[in-house]
Amino acid sequence: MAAAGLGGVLWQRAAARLRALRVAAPLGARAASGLSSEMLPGPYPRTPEERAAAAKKYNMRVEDYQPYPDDGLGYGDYPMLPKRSAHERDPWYQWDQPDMRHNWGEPMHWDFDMYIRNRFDTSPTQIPWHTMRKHFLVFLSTMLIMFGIGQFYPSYRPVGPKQYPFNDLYLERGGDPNKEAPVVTHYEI
Amino acid sequence: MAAGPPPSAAKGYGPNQFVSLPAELDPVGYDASPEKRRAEAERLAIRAQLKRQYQLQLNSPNPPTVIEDPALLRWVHAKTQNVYPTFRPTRQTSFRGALFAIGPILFWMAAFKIERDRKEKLIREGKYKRPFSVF
Repeated sequence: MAAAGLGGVLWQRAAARLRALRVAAPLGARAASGLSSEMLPGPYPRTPEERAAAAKKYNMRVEDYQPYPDDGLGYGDYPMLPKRSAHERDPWYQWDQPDMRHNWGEPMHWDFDMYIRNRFDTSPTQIPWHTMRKHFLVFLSTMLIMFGIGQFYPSYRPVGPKQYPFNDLYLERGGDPNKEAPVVTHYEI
Repeated sequence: MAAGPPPSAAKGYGPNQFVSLPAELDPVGYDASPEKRRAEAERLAIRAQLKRQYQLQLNSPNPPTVIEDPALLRWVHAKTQNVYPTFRPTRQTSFRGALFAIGPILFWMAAFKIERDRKEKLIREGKYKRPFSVF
């Protein structure tokens, strides 16, 4: 039994059977899992039939289906959906996936993971974007200009060097107490 | 002299790629032509069919362990495995590839080389004080 091992008869029979199965399978077949290659994204659609097939594949109307422009950037036939974040979707509708606000089978945006509710929010703002931008830039530029001016033209009260008492702290600095301290005056009359 | 008509609320609001137009200001919503209603009906039909498929799987007496979402699988496939086959070297992509992929490598090679040569020169001339560090 131990001598049989990998070169044994049973192993050979099993290997032969596997080889036969592999030969018997048609060319190009593989173990089926997930979606077939027709259901997966492919290259940019060139003919109207390809566009219609791609629209059907992505569960969209042919009129709604608009692929990304064919710039060779790697989008293929993936549809270009409006750049709206999940915040804009109806919070009260019964979504199949309530946290993503997404329904089963609905085409997902290319940047779907950017538009989730934890991230980028494109919902309309109370104040128009250009007004907010203008206010922010005005404030920022004013502050930067003022800080810059203050850096190059500083303005503060006049200061002089610090004056110490007791003849410039002669004894505290280790001066000889027996010697006469040099008289230091900080004023002129 | 009479002023012209006031600017539309949509223009005054100014949507861009960061904020979208509220539905109340969107002139598209003002139109309820038969074509638009037919389009909406078709979209609703597609949505209803998908919902039905999902609900059948969800509420079936022997539900699958995981209800695969083909839209999610397509999204994943498009972003991972469909980029290289659909990539094409054009002027734009070649420029971007050179700028962002090769550029930083050459830049850092040059930066490190120049920095090391400068330090080497200073050390040879004896002008560089070696920092003392336990680590």
